[in-house]
Amino acid sequence: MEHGPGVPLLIRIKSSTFWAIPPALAALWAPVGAVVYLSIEEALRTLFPGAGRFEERPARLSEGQALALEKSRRSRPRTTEVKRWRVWEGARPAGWVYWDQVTGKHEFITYAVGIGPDGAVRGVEILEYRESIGHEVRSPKWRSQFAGKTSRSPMKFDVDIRNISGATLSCRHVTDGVRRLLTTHDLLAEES
Amino acid sequence: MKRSTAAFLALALAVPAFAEDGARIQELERKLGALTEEVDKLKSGENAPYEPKFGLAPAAAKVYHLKEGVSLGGYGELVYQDFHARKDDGTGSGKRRQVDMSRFILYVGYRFSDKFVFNSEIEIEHAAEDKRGEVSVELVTLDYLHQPAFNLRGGLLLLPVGFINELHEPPIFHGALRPNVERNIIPSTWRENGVGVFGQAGPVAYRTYLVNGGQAVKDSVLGITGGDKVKGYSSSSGIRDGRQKGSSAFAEDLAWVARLDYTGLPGILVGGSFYAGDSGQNAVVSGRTLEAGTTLWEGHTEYKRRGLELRGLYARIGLGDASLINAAQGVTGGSSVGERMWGGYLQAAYNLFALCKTEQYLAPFLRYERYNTQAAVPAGFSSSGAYDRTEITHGLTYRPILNIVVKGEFQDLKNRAGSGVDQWNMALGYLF
Repeated sequence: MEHGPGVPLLIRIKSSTFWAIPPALAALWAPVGAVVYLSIEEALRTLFPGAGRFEERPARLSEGQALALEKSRRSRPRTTEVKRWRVWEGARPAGWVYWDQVTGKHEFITYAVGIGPDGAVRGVEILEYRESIGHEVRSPKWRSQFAGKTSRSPMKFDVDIRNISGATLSCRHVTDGVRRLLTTHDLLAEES
Repeated sequence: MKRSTAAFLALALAVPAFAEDGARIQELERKLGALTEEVDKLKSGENAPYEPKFGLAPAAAKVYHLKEGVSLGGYGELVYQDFHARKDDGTGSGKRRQVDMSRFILYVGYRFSDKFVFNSEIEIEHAAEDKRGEVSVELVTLDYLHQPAFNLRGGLLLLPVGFINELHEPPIFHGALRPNVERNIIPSTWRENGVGVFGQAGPVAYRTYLVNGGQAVKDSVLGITGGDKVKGYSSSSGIRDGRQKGSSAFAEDLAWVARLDYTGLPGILVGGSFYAGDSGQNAVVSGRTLEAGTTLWEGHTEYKRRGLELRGLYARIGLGDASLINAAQGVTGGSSVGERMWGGYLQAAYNLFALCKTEQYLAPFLRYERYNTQAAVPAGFSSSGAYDRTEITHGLTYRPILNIVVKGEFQDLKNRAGSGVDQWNMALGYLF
């Protein structure tokens, strides 16, 4: 829809090409200990069990939006492309799911964030984890801390987000990622 | 006819060419996609957070967050001290105001591979060696990282005791000056040569090293001429001046140090450490070989949640052969070294910006310290009272960004002899 011909391949996602990327990367760098926990379809269902339909609604941040995102500290955007799904319960919009990746220590962590119509986090799901250590970020207890967070929440370590010792980098980067997605969500909402 | 044949030929040649292009473009796109991801990773690598690791402070731990290659870090602090004109007993303090580039430090690390890591800290204290400063190497380590729970380390090591000894980068502690309990009871920065094991298993972290022992008596007692570079134990600073700092350290006596920390409860750290070893280094005093057995144990806890920061620490030292040490050091009466020493502090701080989105940090803090380096002295000597100290420090810590700090504080320094001099201090510090 929003995609012009100039959009780089990586983000011009049809689910089919999209899911070819992780295996391709895996083949390129042969990361150790890669584990796929959830497919995106499973993550969508987990985040919004009552949903009737998930509508793929990718977006692209304008230069101004990307700049605004960079200005809001610790929120450097990885790419201007945003992978997201609109959630429908019947004819009623029930929220959004964002797909994203952050670096754990050296490898990517793939995760998805569900955001309700009120702009608050519904849940965070780890889809794929490639490091040999730090798997603790998958702990439901740790992830449950994000429930209810909005772009106005501080989301700081030892303030409203707990760290897990031994998995500090993964925790910090997922936290940074969720914060960035919430700001992204706000920026895109302003636009529409 | 000719024209259509040409067109046909062109088309026939072009079709496979198009197909080939398509495949090439697909391949290029795949490579581009892969490269984009790689660049992203490098970018986020640049952005690696400043996190303590294996007992090292954020800047010191940089090399552990690398995959390979060189890391450069550092910290520094400029400290201004202004003293009260009078002691608590009303006599003149005789102290001059001072401003000191008290520390300038560079960390150089090298990660050989995922298993082998070199790290070092080069320190210039008080700016100029030909004035009042000194250059020293404070940390040199070679690590073999086997697995998170079991790793080996050798070199000039920071002893894993208390908070400040390992985590002394200015932006991460409150106060322009380090807490006095962690200077005069735990002699930060306490480093000696040795080897050891360290690791982390879930919420439990440990470090245990075998190091050279201290040096309880001054150099001249050991027959070293050229001034007492190592001064040995004292009444005022306890075991502080018995540190050998890795410099041609005597290793007749060795010491063992171990630490355990538990972080399993949200926002809470609880831990303790233990140090034991003789410090005589075969000095012979009054016809006896000096043992000077030194034991230190320490417990510490920290709580951080919603901007509130609480810290508590308690340490005790037991010392053998105290009267022999006194004889060797040539001290009498109230200048005796302590047979027992103890100290502790409680500290509270609150970050006023905690619940705001800003990364700025402004925290008033209050610290109450109590310590005595002469809690017990051997028969025939007395405690002077000047080393039984109660100190209250209150101030502000401001960080415009994570890595830069401005601190100011007032210190009410009391001792039982009434010779305490109050002071106020300011500091400017950084880490990178």
